[in-house]
Amino acid sequence: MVSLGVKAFDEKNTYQAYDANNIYKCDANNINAVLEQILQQHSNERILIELPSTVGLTDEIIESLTDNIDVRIIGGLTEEYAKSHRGQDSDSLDHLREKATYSKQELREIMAMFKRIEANIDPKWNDYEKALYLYEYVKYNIVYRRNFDKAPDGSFLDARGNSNRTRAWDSLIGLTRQLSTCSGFAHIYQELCTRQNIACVKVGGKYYTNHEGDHAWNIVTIDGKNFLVDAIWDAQEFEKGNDVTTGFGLSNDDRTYSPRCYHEMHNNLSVISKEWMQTASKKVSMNIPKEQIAKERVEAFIKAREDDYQRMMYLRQQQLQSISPAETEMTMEGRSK
Amino acid sequence: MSTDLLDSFDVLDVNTKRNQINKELIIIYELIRKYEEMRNVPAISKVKKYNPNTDNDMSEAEMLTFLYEDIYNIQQELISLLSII
Repeated sequence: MVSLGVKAFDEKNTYQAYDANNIYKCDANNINAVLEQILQQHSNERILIELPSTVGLTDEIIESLTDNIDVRIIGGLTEEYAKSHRGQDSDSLDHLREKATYSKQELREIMAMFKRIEANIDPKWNDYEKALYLYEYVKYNIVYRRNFDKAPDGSFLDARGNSNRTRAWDSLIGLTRQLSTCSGFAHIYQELCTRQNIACVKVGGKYYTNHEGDHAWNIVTIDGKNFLVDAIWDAQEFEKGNDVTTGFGLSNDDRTYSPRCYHEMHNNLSVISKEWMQTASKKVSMNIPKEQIAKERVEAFIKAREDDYQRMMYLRQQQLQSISPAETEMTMEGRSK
Repeated sequence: MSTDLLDSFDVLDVNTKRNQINKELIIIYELIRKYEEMRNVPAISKVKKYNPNTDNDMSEAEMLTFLYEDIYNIQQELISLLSII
């Protein structure tokens, strides 16, 4: 990989919410000891535990966290990732690390999702098949959006500095919300691979098509060979109804999209044959419960719609009580008054 | 509309989204019809029903035409209704 930038994370920004004495950097080997030390202090101050990944983060550890403890999972947000960026505000990178900081409840949900995904990995699969399964899972189950938060006036903010993007769309929360940006896709995929002991890094850079934009993707290393992985294009195709797998290690000719940033950032990449992909993709995809997930999404939508209806009716009743209590004849969906 | 509702709609598949939009239009139409019936006003148009099992192969262009016809008909129903009440 060729690093073209000199960007780095600014520690002052990324840890600004915490006192220097309340930041604990640890890993799977010593997190239990660190947590024990923190809990013995009985401090009410805000505390940060920083981990390189979710590997070793057990349910027991999560349940023992107190409300004042946040857990940051660095994952793909390494210094190498920062260096791969060019021309972006350093602020945007610092915010990414801040967003990768989770509460106890968020960690519960994220880890539950990891377990669900990993339960369907066939132990007989090799690393290529495992990495492809994780790719297919992300492709099928996370919706790519380039949207940003809305401004108070309802308009979408142009958040090139990322500060206004929701946390869900750049962090592991995208996995539970099933909605993410390219940065979030790459972040989630990197963590999924790491948990399977498959070497994977997140890379960021500029792409140029009909317009210029920031982009993020992954490089997976298997058997000493580097493969380019970028799930967002196939995820968008799947949303349109086209189930294709072109963003996992295929050659430039076989990829549906091949933005210029790939060619500028990488050389000596290995490629996976289209023939192997077609067979392996069908094989691993059989283990992804797509119908169940689609059903759950519909159920979540129906519930959200009902909640929204109740909220709207409550607000309307509040208005009518102050104007004319009798004017409530029209109802939604034939509901009784 | 709450952000939760919008996000939960956003992650539905395209066919389910199409079906849901059609359902919302039918609800709007039925509300108008309900009002018309209360005042003995006949309808001048209809709204089609999207079938997620058989209409899912419609292209985006075909779907837009499908929706446009319904939205236009609802608009006409409303305009004509408002002109006589």
